[in-house]
Amino acid sequence: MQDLLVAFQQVLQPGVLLYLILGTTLGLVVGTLPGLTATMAVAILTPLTFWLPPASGLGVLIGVWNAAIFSGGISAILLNIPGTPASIASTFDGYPMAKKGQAGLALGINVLYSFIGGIFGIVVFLVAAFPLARFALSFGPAEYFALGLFGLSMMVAVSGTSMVKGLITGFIGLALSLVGLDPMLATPRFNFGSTDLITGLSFIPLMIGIFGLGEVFYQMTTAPYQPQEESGKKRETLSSLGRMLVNAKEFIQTLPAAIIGSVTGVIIGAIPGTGADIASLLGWEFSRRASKRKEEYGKGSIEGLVATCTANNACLGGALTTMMALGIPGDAVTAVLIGSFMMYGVQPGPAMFRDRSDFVFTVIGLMILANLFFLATGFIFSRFAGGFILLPKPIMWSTILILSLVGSFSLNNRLFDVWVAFLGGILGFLFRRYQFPIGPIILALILGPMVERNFRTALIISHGNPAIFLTRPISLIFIIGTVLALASPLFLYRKKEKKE
Amino acid sequence: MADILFGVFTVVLGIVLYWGANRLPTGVLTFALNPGFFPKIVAAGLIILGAILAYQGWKSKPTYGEGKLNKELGLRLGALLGLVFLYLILWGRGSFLLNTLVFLFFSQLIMKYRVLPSLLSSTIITFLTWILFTQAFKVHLF
Repeated sequence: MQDLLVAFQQVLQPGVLLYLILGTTLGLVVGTLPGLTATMAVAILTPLTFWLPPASGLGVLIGVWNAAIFSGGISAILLNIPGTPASIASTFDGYPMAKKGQAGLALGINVLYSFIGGIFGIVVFLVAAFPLARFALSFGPAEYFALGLFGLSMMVAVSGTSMVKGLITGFIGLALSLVGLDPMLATPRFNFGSTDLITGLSFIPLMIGIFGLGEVFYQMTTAPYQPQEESGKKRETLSSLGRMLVNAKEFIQTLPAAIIGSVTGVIIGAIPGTGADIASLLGWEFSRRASKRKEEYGKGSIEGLVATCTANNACLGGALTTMMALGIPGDAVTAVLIGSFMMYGVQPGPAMFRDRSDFVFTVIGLMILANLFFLATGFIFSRFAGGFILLPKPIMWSTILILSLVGSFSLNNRLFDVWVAFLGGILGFLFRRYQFPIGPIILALILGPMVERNFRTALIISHGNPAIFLTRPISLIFIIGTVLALASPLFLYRKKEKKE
Repeated sequence: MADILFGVFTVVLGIVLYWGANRLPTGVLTFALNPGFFPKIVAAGLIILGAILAYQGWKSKPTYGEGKLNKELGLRLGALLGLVFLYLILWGRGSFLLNTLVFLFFSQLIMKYRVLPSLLSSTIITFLTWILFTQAFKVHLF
C-alpha cells in the first residue's frame, strides 16, 4: 500500500500527468480513426518516448493503449467500422442501436463500461499478479520453455480460418528471430556478413512496418479514398445521438453481462497470444449464451454491447498481468510494451516485482489514471468524434507513412531500421492480402528467443534427455496445454466434418 | 494457385534455412549447444507446413478469397512503394524538409487526393514531424 501511495505521488506530478493526458488524447483519436490500431500507435510512439523519464514515457503509451481500445468503439457504433480490432464485436449491437436512434446511449455505454472493465482488470492485476509472480519465480529453463511453447501454441487460436497459414507466419517469425547472435554461444547467425544484422532484426521497426505501413498499403488496395461516400455516411449517423447515460433499470439488467464480459476479458487477456479482439468476441458470445434475451443479441442489445465493452478493456489488465509477472506478452500491445520496458532498463518478469516494485506500482497508477481520464473526457469526445473521422484518408495514411519511417529511424538513428520497417510493411501487406494472420509472427518474434534459449539450456542440464520437460509438473501441465491447443481445432474440424 | 506458390516458397525458405544452419560453426560438446540446432527445427517446421499448404492449394481448397488485385489500385500501390523506396534511397541527401514535403505531396496524389489540399497538408505534416522529432525529441534528421 505504501509503495502504491509513493507511486501515485510520482504519477501525479504535473509533468507525468501532462504526458498521460497527451497519450490518452492521442489514444482517443487513434482508436476512433479506422485503420489505426492501439498496437500501431504504441509501436510508433515507443521510440518517441525514449527520451522521456520512465513515468512520463509510460504515461504516453499506457494512455494511448487504454484510450484507443475504448475509442475504437466510437466508429464501430457510429459507422459500423471498428476503429481497432478490439471493437469488432461492438459493431454487432452498437451500430443497430445507433440505427434505432440510440447512438448516444450506445456511445455512453461504450465510455462507462469500458471504464468498469478497465478498472476490473487493474483490480485483478493487483490481486493476482503478485501470487503469479511468486509462483513464476520457481520456474527453471524447462518450465520457461514449456510456457513459451504454450504461448506459441496460441498461434493456432489467432490463426483465423487457416491453421496452416497461421503456423507458417509463426514459423517465419521464428526464422526472423534467429538472425543475430546465437543466444548461448554468441556466434553470429544468418547475418550474411552484415554488421547491421549482427544484433538481430530490430523488433520495433519490424512491428511498425507490419502494422503501420502494412495497413496503409493494404487499405489503399481494399478501401481506396472515396470522398463523397465518406462524408455522406457520417452526416447520416451523427444526426441523432439522444441520451448517453444508462438508467438504473438498464444498469441492473446489464450487470450479469458486465460481469461475464469483465471476467472473460481478464482471462483471455492473460493468455499469451490473444488480445482484446478475441476477448470482446468471446465476452459477447458468453454473455449471449447466459442471457435470457438471446434473440436481441445482434439486433441492438444493450447487454451485448455492455459485454463487449467491458471485455475489451478488462483484457488490458489480464494482458498486463501475464506480461509483467511472467515476461510474456498477453497480446500484441504488451509485446511492444515489453520493448519499451526494456528501453528503460526494466526486464518484465518475476524478478521485476522484487527488484523494481516501484516501476510496477507506477504502471498501476498510470493505468488507473488513464481510465479515469478517458471516463472524464469520453462522453464529450464521443459527441465530437465525428469530426475526427471526417479526416480524409490520404492525410491519415501519409501521416502514418512518415511517422512510421521517421519513428523507425529515431529508435537508433539508423537508416537500416527504416529499411526493416519498409520490408516489414511489404510483408504485412502480403500477409493481409493473402489472409495470413499477422498475430502469430509477433508472438514468434517475441517468444522465439526465449523458447530457444530455455529449450537448449534445459537439454544441456538434462544431458540431452528430453524427458526433463515431462518429469517436472509445471512443465508437463504447459506441455499438455500446448498439445490440447494444437489438437483441439483438428478434433473440432473432424467432428464438424462428421456432422456434415 | 497462390497457396501453391506460397507453399513452395515456404518449403524453399525452410531448405535454405536448414542449409544455412548446417554451415554454422560447431565443435562443441553437446548437440543442444550447437547454434544450428534450433534453426534446423524451425526449418523442418517450415518445410512441413509449406508442403501442407502447397498440397491444400493443389487439392483446390483455397483459403483466401480476395481475387485478383484491381489493376488501377495495384498500380497506385506500386507507385507508392516506388516512392517510399526513392525516399529511402535519398535519405540523408539534400534536405529532410524538402524531401519529405515532396514525398508526402506525391504520396497523397497517388492516393487520389486533390493537388491544393495535398500541398497544404503535406507542408503541415512535414513541419510538424520535423518539429516533433528534431526539437522535442532531439533526433538528428538530415
